[in-house]
Amino acid sequence: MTLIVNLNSLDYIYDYLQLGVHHFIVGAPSFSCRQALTLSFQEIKELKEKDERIKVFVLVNALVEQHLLADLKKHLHDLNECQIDGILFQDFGVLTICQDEGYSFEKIYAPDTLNTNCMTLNVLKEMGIDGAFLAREIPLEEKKMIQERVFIKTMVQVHGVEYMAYSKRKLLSNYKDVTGLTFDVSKDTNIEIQANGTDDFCHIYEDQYGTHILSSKQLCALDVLNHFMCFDYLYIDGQYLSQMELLEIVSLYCQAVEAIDNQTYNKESIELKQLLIKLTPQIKYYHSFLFDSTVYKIADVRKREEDERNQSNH
Amino acid sequence: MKEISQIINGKRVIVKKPELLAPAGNLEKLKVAILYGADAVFIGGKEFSLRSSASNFSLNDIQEAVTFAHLHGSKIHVTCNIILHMDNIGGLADYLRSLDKIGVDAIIVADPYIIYLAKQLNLRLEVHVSTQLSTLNTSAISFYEKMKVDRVVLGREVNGDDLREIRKNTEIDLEYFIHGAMCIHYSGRCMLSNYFSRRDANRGGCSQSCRWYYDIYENGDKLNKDQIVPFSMSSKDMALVDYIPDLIEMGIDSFKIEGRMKSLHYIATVVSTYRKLIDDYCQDPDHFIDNIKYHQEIQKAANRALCTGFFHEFPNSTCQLYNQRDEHPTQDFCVRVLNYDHQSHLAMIEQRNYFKKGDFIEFFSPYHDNIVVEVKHIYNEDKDEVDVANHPMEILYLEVDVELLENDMGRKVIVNES
Repeated sequence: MTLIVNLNSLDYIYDYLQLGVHHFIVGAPSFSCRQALTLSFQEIKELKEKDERIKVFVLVNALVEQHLLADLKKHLHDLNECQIDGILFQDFGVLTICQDEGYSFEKIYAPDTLNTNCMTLNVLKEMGIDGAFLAREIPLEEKKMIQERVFIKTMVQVHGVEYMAYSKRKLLSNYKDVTGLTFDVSKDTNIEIQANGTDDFCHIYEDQYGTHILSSKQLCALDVLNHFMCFDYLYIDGQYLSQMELLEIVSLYCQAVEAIDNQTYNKESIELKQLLIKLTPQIKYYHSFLFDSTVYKIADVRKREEDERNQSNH
Repeated sequence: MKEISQIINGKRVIVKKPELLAPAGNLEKLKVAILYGADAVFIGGKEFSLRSSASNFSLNDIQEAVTFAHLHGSKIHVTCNIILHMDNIGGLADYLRSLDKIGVDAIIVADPYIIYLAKQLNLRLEVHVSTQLSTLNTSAISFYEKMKVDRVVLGREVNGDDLREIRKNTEIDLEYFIHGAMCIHYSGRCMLSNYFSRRDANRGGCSQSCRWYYDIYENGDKLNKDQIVPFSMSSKDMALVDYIPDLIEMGIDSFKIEGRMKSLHYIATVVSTYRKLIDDYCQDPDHFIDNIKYHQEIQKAANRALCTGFFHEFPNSTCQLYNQRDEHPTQDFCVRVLNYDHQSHLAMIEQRNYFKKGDFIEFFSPYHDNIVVEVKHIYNEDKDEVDVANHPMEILYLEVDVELLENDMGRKVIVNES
């Protein structure tokens, strides 16, 4: 089990190393979506050179249009030259190019929503993937079942904002056109949307690849981390956190791992969660789908709605 | 790539005619889609298919669909396009074998394991990669080619220029959406429904949360105050009527119409319009006149405003709906013709919506131009004259001087009183 951090700054690298965290995910100027930090190729090289223990994974997770294929090929070539340790991708075009070029860095299939069973991942292993980021929207038990049955590395999110949707369209700019409102659509501004009739907010922003929606609530597995020791990579997302907040959150997870090793986790996890809430009082935490499941058959949907109505009537 | 056109008797004709692929949510719609000109129809089974709200087909229904389709020279594609979870894998192989045995022509698949399994089972049926996988480039297509798929349904985000490049650079069958509703986000990559409704979009439970209204905030301050329309992520429907000639000349293999949940009237109207458009163009492409009649016809079925998706230009705010009341059917489906008696000039019809004497009904069919008639006499089954037709599915008789054909449909022409 390795903690891997979607890094939001280079400022505290040595602090992370001191905590025992060496695996980092970063974005690049092209083909990266939902990164917390964007580094040039030179900066990626420099990050690698800071310490030989550092492993750098780069987000190459845009869906790639045909006219950008040549750029993508060059991009992957340049990343390979930087001696990166892996990529997270979702377009199978990325995998094809990596295989054609013989790139040996880890190819983590991270389509956000599609990695929901072991059979598919084992087929994809034969097609060349080295690892998979398991879908967030499946319960922890299903994630464990998948992990037990696959022959690739598994990555699961344990902390941070969660991916919700990705559109090629400029949804915020379009809305500005219609309403005449003026606001910055980039990630730097904290734009949120709230579906009418719900309590949930979502972060929303635009970049060169379209519009991205992320949960405003943040997944937190600090109090159930002992269930995650079977996975290869535990992913902590640094988006919408300050540099210091991310460092402190990672530190709490390191302490939790240590407590699990020392068999003191049951006692310490409560304190760690309390510390987290104290450090980030503005953030709402939840377990997301870890202990919850979705329904899809219309009969099940209706039954659930009826149950909910009955409950609210009583 | 296959030759698209040839000179025959001094005239260029299209020899590589695309498949017109229509949706159907039940057997009745499927039969109408085929009778109105679909070369192939895609349907969902009871299992392993998205659109859990559609009626969907049992294996017996699929058998009947295949028999009917093959009798009329059409094909049946069955969607097996859910993203499998651990508890969905049981029964899959048997289901695929059953579809193959029944004679289904193709399955539409979004999960690579189903592709793999279908190929391992040595099934006769074709395997098509669903648009749920958002395939946008030839490198991704190469991946699926290695898996020996027979066709790729491209993502709706592929624009015309990219589509042309993709066609030039791959031999595989390409299917492209020409009409219907569009996901506002990349298909298969949207979890709004899962988060807001706990309904799994990738297994057919989508609650269409993108079409809801949202309040929007900047650093906690609400932006859509007062009368400002709330934020929404609803796309207008796509209609590529103007670009069908381009798509034919590119050599796209299959033109897909979306809408397994749509009405009988919608399917009949949209399928017959594209059928006529494709046939008219292919017959004499160099003298084809871009006729407004196809647009007018499509509008009669449109219950949502239309746009051209990503094909022609990047969709801006005019391609989105910010007010659901933009939905505007212009004509109501009210009659299906069961037969026509030449001697009495009586058309036996099945009532599908309220109409009355004095209304105007437009009859349409893939086999003749539209015919508008005023309803002068309505008779019930006992041949007694009645003033109104207000019982759904009632068998009635209409006096119509012009010959109608079995399965013609009639829509009430709504007079704009303003």
